[in-house]
Amino acid sequence: MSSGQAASRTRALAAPRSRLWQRLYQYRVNYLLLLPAVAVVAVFAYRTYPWVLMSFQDFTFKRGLFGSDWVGLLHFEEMFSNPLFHRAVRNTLVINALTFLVGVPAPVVFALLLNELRHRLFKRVTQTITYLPHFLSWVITAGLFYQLLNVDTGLINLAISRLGLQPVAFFREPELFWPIMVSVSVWKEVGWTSIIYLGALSAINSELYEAATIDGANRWQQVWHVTVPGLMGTVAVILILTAGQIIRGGGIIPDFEAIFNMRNPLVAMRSDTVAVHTYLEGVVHSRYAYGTAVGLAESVFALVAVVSANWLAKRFRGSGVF
Amino acid sequence: MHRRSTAEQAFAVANVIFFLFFCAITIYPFINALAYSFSSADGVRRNIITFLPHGLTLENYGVIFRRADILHASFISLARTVVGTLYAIVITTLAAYALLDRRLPFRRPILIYLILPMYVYAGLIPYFVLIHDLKLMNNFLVYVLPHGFWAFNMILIRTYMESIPTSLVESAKIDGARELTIMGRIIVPLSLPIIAVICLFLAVWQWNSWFDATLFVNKSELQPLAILLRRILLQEVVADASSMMSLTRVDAVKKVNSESVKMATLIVATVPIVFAYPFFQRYFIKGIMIGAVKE
Repeated sequence: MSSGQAASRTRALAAPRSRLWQRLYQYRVNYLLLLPAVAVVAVFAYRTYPWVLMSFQDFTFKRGLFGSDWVGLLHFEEMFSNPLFHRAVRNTLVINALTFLVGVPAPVVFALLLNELRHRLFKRVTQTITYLPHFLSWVITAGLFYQLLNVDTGLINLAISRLGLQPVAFFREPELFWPIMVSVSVWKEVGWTSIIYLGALSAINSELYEAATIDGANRWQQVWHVTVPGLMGTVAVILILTAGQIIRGGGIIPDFEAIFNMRNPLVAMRSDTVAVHTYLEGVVHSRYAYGTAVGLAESVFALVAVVSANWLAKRFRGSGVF
Repeated sequence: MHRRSTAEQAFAVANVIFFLFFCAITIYPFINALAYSFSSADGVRRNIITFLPHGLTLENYGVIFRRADILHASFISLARTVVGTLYAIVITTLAAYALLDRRLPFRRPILIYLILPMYVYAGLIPYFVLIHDLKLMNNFLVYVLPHGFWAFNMILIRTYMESIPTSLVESAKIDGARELTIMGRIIVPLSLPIIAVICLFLAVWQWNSWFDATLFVNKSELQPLAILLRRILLQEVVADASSMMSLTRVDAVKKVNSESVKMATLIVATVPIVFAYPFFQRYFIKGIMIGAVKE
């Protein structure tokens, strides 16, 4: 405290022009420590931005960004008339909206139910098991579910045939891709996402429960009148933030890795999202300019979603997430 | 404590059953994969594998560990996990510490500069072309260099550091401690819980990564385990699905069954994660909650 006051007094006495340099020098170690992070971001994030211009070019690697011809909005025109792109937009919106509708309430309910478990060891083990899928890659997750839903040997189909019904080829039916994708995404992240609600639950003042008990409230009434209102702030923030991920995915909403590992060519008409379309056209078919155009369109919509979600969150609780 | 009514007891029982069911559907795929991985080809051909292996054998793991490519790929995965995690945690922690002091001149512009890329993404293809341009194709460094800094992790660490009482730092300053001593002796040791959690996130991310290898690496000696796993698990499944025939029927009287080898590979790739993460679990709620409750 005393050193801080002394320092500010010295600073106040110094001439205004040299003061900035003095302060910069005073914090020289901090700037040095920031240097690696600043460099990594400069090279691997900011240096990607100029390449966005490819989407207005007839780009080839040989001629590069400066040698390629400009073609105006050609790639965007193609994009808007490409039925594969229309299909990709539909699949992205449907899969993400469905996951949003199921995936936002599910962890809230999950946390409420988990909170009611009385046996501590059982609760701990349950938490350990239900957080685990979050740490599995989508490669492994898809491998497990292709096996679980296998026509001949998967447990689900064994149960179906036991009931005397026809086995279902889950990963060959395009109509089944949306429900499978939504269920697996929610299954994978519901436990992990519920952590934030468990934290919010433990922050609820226990006096509120005592007061409710004295007023004669039963367990159900306590949950409804104390617990649920206590969670609403967190629910609202998570709701808004998840809405921000509705275009590109992330959190409980499936992203490129999720879709790309769960899909196969037989269900492409229902599984291929904008991100998959970008990869298949841009990288696999080497149509760099077109891929950049699609990616740019996606990024613009994603930015609008995130910024408006963050703006809403800020209004809601006085501070954004970042 | 008030007495529990019949309805409440019924709910408690139903609740336990729900979680037992939920845990069962989470664990079953692993049990099934384990059962496959220990089953002989004959066992898989004659039986449907559910919970227990048929014709107990270690041969599937033998096949994996005799395959030089899988061993080599595991080594690449381990290397990128260790190097990548250390590289990123050092850069991120240094930045978090440097931004801790609110009086730092130009703190706000620096923060905006670091955080902006989280919102503004140029897309996959510009990144792809950039990596070409930097001559990082078919280079081990492509697994490490781009992933040194995530603003979100930095924010989590910095928020945790902010919870350390400033009086500790002040008194160290009075004792004449320099900036680096304060960081190394006070702030970083006290922030170890969040640093551990972030290390776990980074390590799991590195271990599981396959897409960068798909995009940028076609030399087989540089490919990580995740790529091999993906090839073994999914591409064969797709070929399988298109041919409308299941592998169990295709496989003749072989010593090993391809389904069993697939599942054994999956188990080998999953085991490090399953064993690493319970050690970090006690930090999760603490680390994540403090990170989430922002300024």
